[in-house]
Amino acid sequence: MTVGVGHYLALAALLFCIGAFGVVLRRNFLAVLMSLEIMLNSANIVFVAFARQAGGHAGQVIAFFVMALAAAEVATGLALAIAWFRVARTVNVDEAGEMKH
Amino acid sequence: MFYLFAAVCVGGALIAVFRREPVVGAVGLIAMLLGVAGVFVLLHAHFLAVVQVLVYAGAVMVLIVFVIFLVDPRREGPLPLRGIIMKGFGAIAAVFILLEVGRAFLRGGGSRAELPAGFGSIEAFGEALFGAWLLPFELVSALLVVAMVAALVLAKRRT
Repeated sequence: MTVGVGHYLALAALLFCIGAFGVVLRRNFLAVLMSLEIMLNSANIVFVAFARQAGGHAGQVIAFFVMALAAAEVATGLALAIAWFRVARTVNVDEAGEMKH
Repeated sequence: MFYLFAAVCVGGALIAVFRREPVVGAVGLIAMLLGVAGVFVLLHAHFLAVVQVLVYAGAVMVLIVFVIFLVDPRREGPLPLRGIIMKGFGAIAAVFILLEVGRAFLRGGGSRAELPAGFGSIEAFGEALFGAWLLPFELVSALLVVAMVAALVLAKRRT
């Protein structure tokens, strides 16, 4: 059976579900960020798969933008984690009751 | 080849989500990112595969591992799976999603456009990026600057 766009979509859906599961259930802020990365990557697979399907480059360019967005998100998210850890000595999202410092 | 890369992706993602030690999860995430880079190569997105390895598996993961070591998170307890109603909803949603995924998987192909010569080459990608997508590209650079300044301000030690 040749590998078609449906296979890539199925892979992306599986990865997205795994990532969403991690975002909802993990209690460690860093693990939540990593699960978000999984979800963004699954979206990238869909963009690139449809770019291949349509024979154009727009999907690849958008996937490139998503990568830049993910880098920015990780940078600010990790800075937030460090600032939060300095105040509260924890990165458990259940204990994040207070954002003031 | 697709099944190899897909297995690496799914396995890495499962490790990243289900292992409770953050460092082991980070290694699983690196495996998943490299698998996605392989998938990009299969889809003729060579430039994106290189960027994936350099930026994601390189820079972003170094940042994440660095912060993991910095904050030294404690082991989490078991994942909180509770509530019969939520479990029911989750099971129903999982069945639907699996059905859809299986349907997409079995249907497979669909018609593909004939690839123009040089599809996915860095020249063609650059033509698209600096042609029709020039303004979004510049905005992304502005976004990165804003994120960098925000990270500096947030992580700075207040005196």
